[in-house]
Amino acid sequence: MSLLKGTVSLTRYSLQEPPPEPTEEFIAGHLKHNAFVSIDDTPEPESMGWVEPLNPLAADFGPGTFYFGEMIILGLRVDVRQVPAKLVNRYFNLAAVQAEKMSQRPLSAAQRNSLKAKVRADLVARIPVSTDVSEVCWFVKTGEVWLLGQGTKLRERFEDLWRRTFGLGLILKIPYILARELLPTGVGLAQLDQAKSAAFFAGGKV
Amino acid sequence: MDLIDLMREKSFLGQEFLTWLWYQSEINSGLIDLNEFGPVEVWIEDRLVLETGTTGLRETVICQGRNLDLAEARTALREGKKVTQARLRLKSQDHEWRLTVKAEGLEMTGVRAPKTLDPEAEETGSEAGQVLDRLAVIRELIMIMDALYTRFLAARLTESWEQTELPGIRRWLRSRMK
Repeated sequence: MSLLKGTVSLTRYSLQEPPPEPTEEFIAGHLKHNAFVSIDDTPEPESMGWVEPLNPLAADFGPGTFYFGEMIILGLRVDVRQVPAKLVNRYFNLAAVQAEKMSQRPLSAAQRNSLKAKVRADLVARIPVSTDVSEVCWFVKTGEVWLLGQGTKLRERFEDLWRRTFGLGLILKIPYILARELLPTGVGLAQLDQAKSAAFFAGGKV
Repeated sequence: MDLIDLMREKSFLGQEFLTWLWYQSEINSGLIDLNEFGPVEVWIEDRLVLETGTTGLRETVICQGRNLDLAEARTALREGKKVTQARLRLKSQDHEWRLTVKAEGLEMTGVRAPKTLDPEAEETGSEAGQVLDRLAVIRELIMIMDALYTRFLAARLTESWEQTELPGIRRWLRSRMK
């Protein structure tokens, strides 16, 4: 987990609206509906859900496992079985040759599609699962949420899971949003909204 | 103008913030006095990325490596390219962080936080204690970055931008041409 060692990547969000009552019971109830479910014994290609922050194998969310003072820390676990297209094609070609040899006629387009889907499903079931766990920190008092992980795909997965779990909208703290939040004393929103991009060099004129 | 248009139009704020940090890192030995944190030191560590800010044909200049010479980056800035990514070193009192900031979303990657607990020591405590300790130093970093952004906004959105800051940046760019 990146919060224990190594480097950290961090994306910041604000909550669009405060949650009704973020008690430990309230949060735990919502988390359990979207807890991580293992795909180890299934042919599923992917699974995503919440786990306890200090134990990615646990998703019970008992007292004291995710609520720390005014901060909620959650584990976001994504398990994926990835089968490269090249591998599917290689096994499909072998299977197609064998099938045509047995039936002594070329496979129809529908038969080829069906065979390819079967080959892919067989490979997915045999490929070991790769696991990735990122952390999410929710500062309840300030309504700020951090995703500690990198990549657009992870971000999209997180935003989707968050909305499904809590029904709360997230606003990415991009420069304009952060500027609205941090406007210095004596500076109005109109000054921010009217600001134009600067030319740093102006053809050499100072 | 609606919020979506404003967010898109003001994306230059992230680029200009990184440019301003770079300028600050080369004047006053990188020292910026933030009232609530005291003096904070900021350096460009070992990577700076500049890009043309327009859609269509995108040109990128990447300056990286130890003992970074930013002459090429300054040339790119003079040509109108915008700073889109910077690897920073930031020091406040006894704490030092290294991080990459991306201008577009101000997200931080590769954040190397200072060690405040000795992992070998008995008093390090539980995993939860270690996590909370690490989060505390990351929160400190975020507060400093917010204070720096506020300082930038105070300069950028007031008369001092046209009167002092922008001419200062232009002088700095010209002086490095010689």
